[in-house]
Amino acid sequence: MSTAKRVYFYLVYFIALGMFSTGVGILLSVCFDVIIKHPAPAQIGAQSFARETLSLGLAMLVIGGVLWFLFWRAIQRNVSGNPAEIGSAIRKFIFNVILIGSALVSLFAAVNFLKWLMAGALLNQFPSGGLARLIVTGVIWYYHWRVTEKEGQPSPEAKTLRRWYVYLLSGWGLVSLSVNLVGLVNTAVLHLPVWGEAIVSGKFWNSSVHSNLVWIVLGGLVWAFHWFRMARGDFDSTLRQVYLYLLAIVGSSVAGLVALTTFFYGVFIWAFGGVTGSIAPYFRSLGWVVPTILVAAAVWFYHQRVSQEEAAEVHERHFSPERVHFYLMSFFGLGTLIAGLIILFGILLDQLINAIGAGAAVIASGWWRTQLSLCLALLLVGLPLWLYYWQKVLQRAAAGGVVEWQARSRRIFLYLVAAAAIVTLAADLVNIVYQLLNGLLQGAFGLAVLRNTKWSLQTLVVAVPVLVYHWRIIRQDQRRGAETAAIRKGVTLLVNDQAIDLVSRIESTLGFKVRVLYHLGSTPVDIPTLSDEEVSKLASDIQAAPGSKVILIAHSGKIIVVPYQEK
Amino acid sequence: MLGFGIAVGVLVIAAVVLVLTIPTQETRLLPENTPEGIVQRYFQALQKEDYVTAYSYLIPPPSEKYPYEEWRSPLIRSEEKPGWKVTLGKSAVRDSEATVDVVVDVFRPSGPFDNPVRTQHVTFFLKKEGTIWKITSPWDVWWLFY
Repeated sequence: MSTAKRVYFYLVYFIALGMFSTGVGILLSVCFDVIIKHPAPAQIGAQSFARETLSLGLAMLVIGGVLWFLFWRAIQRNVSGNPAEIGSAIRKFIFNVILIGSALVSLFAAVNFLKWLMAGALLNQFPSGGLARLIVTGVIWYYHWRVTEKEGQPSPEAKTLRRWYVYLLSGWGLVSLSVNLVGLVNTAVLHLPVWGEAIVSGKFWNSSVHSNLVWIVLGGLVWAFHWFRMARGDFDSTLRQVYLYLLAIVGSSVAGLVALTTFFYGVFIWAFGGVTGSIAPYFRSLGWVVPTILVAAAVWFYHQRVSQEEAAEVHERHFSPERVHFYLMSFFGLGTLIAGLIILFGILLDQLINAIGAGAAVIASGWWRTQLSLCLALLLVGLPLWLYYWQKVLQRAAAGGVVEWQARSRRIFLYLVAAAAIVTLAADLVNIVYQLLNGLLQGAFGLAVLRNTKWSLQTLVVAVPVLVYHWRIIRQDQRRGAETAAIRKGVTLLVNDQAIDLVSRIESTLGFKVRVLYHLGSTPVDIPTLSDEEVSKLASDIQAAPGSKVILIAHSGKIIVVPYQEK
Repeated sequence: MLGFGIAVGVLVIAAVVLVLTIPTQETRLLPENTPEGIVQRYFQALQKEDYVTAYSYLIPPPSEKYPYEEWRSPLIRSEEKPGWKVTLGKSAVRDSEATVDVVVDVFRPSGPFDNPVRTQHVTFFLKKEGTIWKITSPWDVWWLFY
């Protein structure tokens, strides 16, 4: 099939399926309404409403159904026994869109239906439309899932599109499970009989608890099915690394650290005597803080262990998400640490200003309490976080060579920190010089100048070492050639799909991506096993080849470098 | 595929038979001296486009200068009136005040992928004037058409 014909077939198939399934859904909903809702105490307008919906449902079902059947049969005839058609990007795109859409719609419909059951299953509130949607989208999902599982993923595009579906649903399930676990524990804690009269709440068994329970069960099932069954053994996937590092590990780290900072802040305020009266209501935030820390820790430890176990299976080309994770966490750690230090210097300057200006101002007792508590909480969380991840970054940079120094995430991190520090310094210096000059010229050089430059001084003291440290790293990287762009040629490698490791090694040595073409039909079994020296020589041959485009062909146990140009 | 076709056929027949055999609701009128009986009659009058009768079940807010005209204008203005049905839910009476929960389904088709039925849960507040219950809120009815 030509691409245009494929687009035509699958687009009409998709729209016809939507029409057909909506029609079936309307008829199911009408049936539920009449059987279950109609004997309810009283309905007004039920007869004409049912006839109107039935008319639309029948029209959509008949027209959509016939269209869907004809196009599905035509598609299946073209696809039968043809791996190129089965693996076509358009077919797999449409199928995965249907899988994602039907899975999410049926998930929400199931949540509403189960919430109705838990709320006492009142017949006059029976979710006819919701149950109809659940049945229809459930059938659509199961049918298309079975078709895709049966025919497999015979092309790289098919594999990638399936991974989008699998990791999107895995992520969705994990987030639903985690967020609702925290929500449920928080509600339960707030209903404990320890808060005295500080919290007035209704019944524990309310709609929020129903929702939490249903999402825990369904989110957990969705995550377990997609992560443990569908994503099993899929180590050679960048999207898996994105899920592992950027969603699960970074997401849980950030959630846990926010909760930990809130916890420390509350404890310090209490320890410094900032809580008057009963402490019970003050600590009600523990209801979400403690479960957030526990759930985030569980998610972090599990996914960290999985990523470490899989590290041996993962090729260098998929290290990018891990690298981004390290730099992101370093950035969060550094930001938290800097915020803590700025507040700390602010307290010291306030102390100095208060000491100099004693008697001139009324100072509230314990003015430092909230600032010091926040500062200590930020330092206690930010310092170990930054030290842990920055140590990993330094180890990677030492081991990774020019590829690591040139990495985009490293360059962005370093220049972002340097730019922020320079802008802060410039703004601080402008304010300090302005206040000094103004004080001198106005003849009012004294405590007011110190007070007006306080924020600039406390940020300047932190920005200077941050800038010096990161600037030295930037200069060191520049001397090592991190900014020298390699001569980028258009390199295409023709291999079979067993040669992923070879592709990774060539890309690492060249420092840029290589386009990969895969053999169809009978593929060569003699992909060469190259030593590091041979890969380096291959990279040199590519750079030395005339022109800007090179194709590498694996043949007879060798890699042949063929320069070419398009005319 | 044959089994699937049979299932769809059974569904079509069942839906048609069930819809065509729905009894009319006039035989199921609730007592007029109850809050739910008033809400039921209010919606029945709206269905019949008997706006004067429907309005007689309401207590208009004192701020409205021309309360009947204001209330009726969306009913008359709306050119394309969608079909709707109302299911009465639980009611609660406390002294001279009462609430009645209703589920309103509005039918407005808008495309092959869209659910044509929009469902909303509305609570009606009523006040007893002498021996008659009257609706105080919601006073307007524009939400039936959007």
